[in-house]
Amino acid sequence: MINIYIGPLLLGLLLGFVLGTRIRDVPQSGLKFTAPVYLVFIIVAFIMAYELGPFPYYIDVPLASGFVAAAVGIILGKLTFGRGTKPQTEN
Amino acid sequence: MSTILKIFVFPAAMVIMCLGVLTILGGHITPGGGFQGGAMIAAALIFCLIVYGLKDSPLHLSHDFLAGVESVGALLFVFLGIAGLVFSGFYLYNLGVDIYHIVPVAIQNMFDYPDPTHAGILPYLNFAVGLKVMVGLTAVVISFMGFKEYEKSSPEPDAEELDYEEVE
Amino acid sequence: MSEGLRKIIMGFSLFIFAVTIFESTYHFKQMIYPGISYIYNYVGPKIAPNMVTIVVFDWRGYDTLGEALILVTAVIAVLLVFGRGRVQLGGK
Repeated sequence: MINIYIGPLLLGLLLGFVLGTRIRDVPQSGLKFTAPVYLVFIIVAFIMAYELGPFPYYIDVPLASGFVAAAVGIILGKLTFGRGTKPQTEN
Repeated sequence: MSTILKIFVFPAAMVIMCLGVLTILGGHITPGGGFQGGAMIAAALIFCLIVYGLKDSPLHLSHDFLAGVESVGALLFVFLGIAGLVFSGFYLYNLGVDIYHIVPVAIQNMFDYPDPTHAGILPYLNFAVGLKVMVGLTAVVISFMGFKEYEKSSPEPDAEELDYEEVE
Repeated sequence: MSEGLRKIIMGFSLFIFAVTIFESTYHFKQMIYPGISYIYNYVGPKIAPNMVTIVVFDWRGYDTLGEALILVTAVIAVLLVFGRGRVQLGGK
């Protein structure tokens, strides 16, 4: 296959990873964001990247590679460093 | 805030963050760049803060994270300039695109951005500025909403209380 | 001073000021020398397709450094003023 440009992929992955380490689960608000939510988010990200189209002068893949890299980076960051439930406060 | 908003906000904030990253990455081709993309990511983070409140927000930014990322962003910009000063004679010289041809080819290939446009160090500068702006704007909003109750409920150890806290 | 005298002085100075501004902008185009704009319009499309980003980050990158440091200073100032007693600033 034609060579994929690694510049946007690497930088998008790094930025998404930094943002993904900050996600935590909060059981107190009554809402739970479990694994199917993130799966639907990835599918929606791929569809959006295909509709957005690549940047000008980019001829490798017909989708926006930075967008997909950021979405994958967020999920990787949450799986690696995401905190579990928030500790209960003892006011 | 109502339940429908709480269900909708977290996935929408993640999509807005990805759009902000796309704006930062295309700074040398499309309109946008570091400042604009950083403001978009900050908008997503503030959106989550307003709807859920300061204590229950799923995107939790601690004080150490804010201080660390802001410093990293500003220092990365300065160190890229110093790298230009060391390898050629000019501060913030664009080492990837050598318009005066004074840098050896190995260093030019090292600092180039692997891309059909070959823009040099411009995307890395956009990345540093994007980090800085996103964290700075969010820190201002968090400090307006009251930082202390935020620090009490996070798992970091508290310093002792300051004496003159008559704000309660 | 009386009211009428003040109005006469104000009208006279406004007339002088307007004549000066219009006369200086009338021949403005012949007075500008483009200078480095010729060089940058020749070299610029070889660096990146977006001329605005080239000017902001490459030719005037020093000003963007100052802008970034202004943002840091503004955030520090806001945290110092509005965070009294609320942010752990460290120390005793």
